[in-house]
Amino acid sequence: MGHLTDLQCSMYVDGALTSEQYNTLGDHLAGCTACQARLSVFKEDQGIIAIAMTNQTEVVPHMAPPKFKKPVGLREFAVANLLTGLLFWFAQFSSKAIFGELVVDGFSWLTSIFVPDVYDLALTTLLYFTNEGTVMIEAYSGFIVAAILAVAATWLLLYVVKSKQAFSFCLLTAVLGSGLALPQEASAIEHRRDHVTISSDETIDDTLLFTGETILVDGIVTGDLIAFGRRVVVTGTVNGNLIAFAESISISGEVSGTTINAGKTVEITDAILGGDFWGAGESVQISRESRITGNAVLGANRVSMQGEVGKDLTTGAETIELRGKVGEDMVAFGKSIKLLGDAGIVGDLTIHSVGEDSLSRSAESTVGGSIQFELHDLDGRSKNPYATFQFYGFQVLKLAAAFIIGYGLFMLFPAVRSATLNSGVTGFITAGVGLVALVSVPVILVLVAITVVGLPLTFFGFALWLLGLYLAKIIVAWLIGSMLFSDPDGERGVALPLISGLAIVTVAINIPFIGGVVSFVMTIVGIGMLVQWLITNYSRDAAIVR
Amino acid sequence: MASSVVAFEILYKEYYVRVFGLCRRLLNSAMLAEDATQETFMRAFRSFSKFDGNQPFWHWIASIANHYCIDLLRQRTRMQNLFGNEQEEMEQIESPGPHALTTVIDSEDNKTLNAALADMPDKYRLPLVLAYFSEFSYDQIAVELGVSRNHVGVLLLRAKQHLRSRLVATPAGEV
Repeated sequence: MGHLTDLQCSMYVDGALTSEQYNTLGDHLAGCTACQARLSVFKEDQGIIAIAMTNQTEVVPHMAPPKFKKPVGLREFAVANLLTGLLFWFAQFSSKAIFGELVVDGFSWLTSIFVPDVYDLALTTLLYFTNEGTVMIEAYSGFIVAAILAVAATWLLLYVVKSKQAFSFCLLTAVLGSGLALPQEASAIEHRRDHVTISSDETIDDTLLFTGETILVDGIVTGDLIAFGRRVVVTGTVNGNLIAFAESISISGEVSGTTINAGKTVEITDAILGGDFWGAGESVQISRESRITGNAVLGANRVSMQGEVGKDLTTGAETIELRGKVGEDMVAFGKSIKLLGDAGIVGDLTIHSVGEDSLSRSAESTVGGSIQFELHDLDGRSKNPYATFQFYGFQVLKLAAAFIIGYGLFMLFPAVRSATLNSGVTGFITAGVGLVALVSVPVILVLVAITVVGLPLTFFGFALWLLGLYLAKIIVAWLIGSMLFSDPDGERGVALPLISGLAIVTVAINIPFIGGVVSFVMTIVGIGMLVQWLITNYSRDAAIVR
Repeated sequence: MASSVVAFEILYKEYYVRVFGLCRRLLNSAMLAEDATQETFMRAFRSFSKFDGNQPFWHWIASIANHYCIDLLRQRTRMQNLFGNEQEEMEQIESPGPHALTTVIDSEDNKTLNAALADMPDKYRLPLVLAYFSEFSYDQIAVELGVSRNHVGVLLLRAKQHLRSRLVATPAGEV
């Protein structure tokens, strides 16, 4: 054979040749001084590099040992999550039981005995606050604001100039400031305790805000009229909007703007309302001669509508009686809807109710458009899903399907078993990656779809994305299961950890109130694990064994 | 739990200078090496239960450091094929016979050699550090870098040649 190559020399001194190669080269070396010389050069180099390599020319910085802590295992993580979930569920359940049922029921029973009228109570409170409370609040809020400002200024000055003079100065300013800030009574709002009357020969060229026991407006108000009282009667004209809150509201004048009324009884008698009308109360009555130019929205126990509505009429009431005309469509939510006399609806009538028998109509009534029924369960109590057998049957079915798919997945691709959720920050990163994948993939796919050429790719991508969403929870289930059995790579079989994990996940995502959040978190964590697993396994040189 | 922490802190004090040296050589940066050292020990602690007492601790911790640093370099260079093509490297092997490093740096301190090491491209420095610092075999290096065994030999030869040419081209004192 010929002389040794550089590669052979290099590997020779590194001890990286096979015994066969050593024998062959040895035979040559024995009789070739040139090769012996070259080899000795390589040997010297090797020694020098090895020494130089470990020789530190710079000072090694002193490094305190890091805080060695065992990461929280996923078993603890899962158990803690489950416990938190159960705790939440228990807290919510008991709060609902205590407050939702006991307190509210008890309170309503109590009020039915002691409090003659809820409206009365609300009004008394409101009147007290509007008459006395505003002054009180203004006085105190002025003081509070001044105090906060003074403290802030003091802090700032002390921070900037750390001297005693500055402190004294601040103190003085604060005292003076709080004295000055004490308010004078606001003059824009007129407070009158008992009775407010705007007589028919009076014209108010401004917006009026009234609070009082009885409010009578017979004159003309050019701006808005806002009235809170026990009894509000408007017989005059309001050019702006009319907002009234009272035990009884009676309007028989003319309002140009929007009318918003809330009270125990709302009566619109021979009135002309130029804009929309919003009325709420125990009973809302609109007399035959009244006219509402815009839309009417009425919510009450009992609605009696005899007048005319220019546009749509939307009502929600136990009993709805319509004798008048509706210019456009009517939507009614209620148990009993009656079209009486010559009631007329130009457009469609949509009824949201328990059954079609809730509508009764006279022979003379007319509906220009169609009549549609939207049937609802108006009992107000939605069915408890946990109380039905179908729910559990469906869950078991879903569990079985997920198990079969998961089992197939881990059998076909054993490497997926190694997808792991690292602890701490990395776990959050995994969830973040999952969230990004969850959100960005559809966006990207839509963008691809726009190019038309990419349409098949988009369908394919969406299918993959949906598959990923489904697999995400299976992978999390596997992770939880394998951690519970302390068998991260599924060496002792896949079935048992998988079914246990799936059972835990199924229970967790069905926990009332927080199940949705759990499901969402599990999905993003699972997708994150899947994405990270794909990245680590298919982007690197396959030869690197991890 | 507490006793394992104490035991590990002893190991840390024993080995951190050496691990730091390895990371320093691999990453070519003292600052990165400091972080890498800490991270290496954190990882080692987390998987300490997997440590096989039959092999030297140094080999185990060195392979963790290698993994970490090579990953870091891959991320930094964003280059999957860090170590080039075996055939291309083979063709680059310089034909002239070697000059012994001894003749060049005989009277010099290690500074010149250190500078030359620092200047070396990652693809040559990494196998050289693994072979002469971590004391890994060709096979171990091949697994670590994800290249063939022969490729490792070529890379190491190129590394040695690179050192020589660098030192011959830059006589002592000019570094």
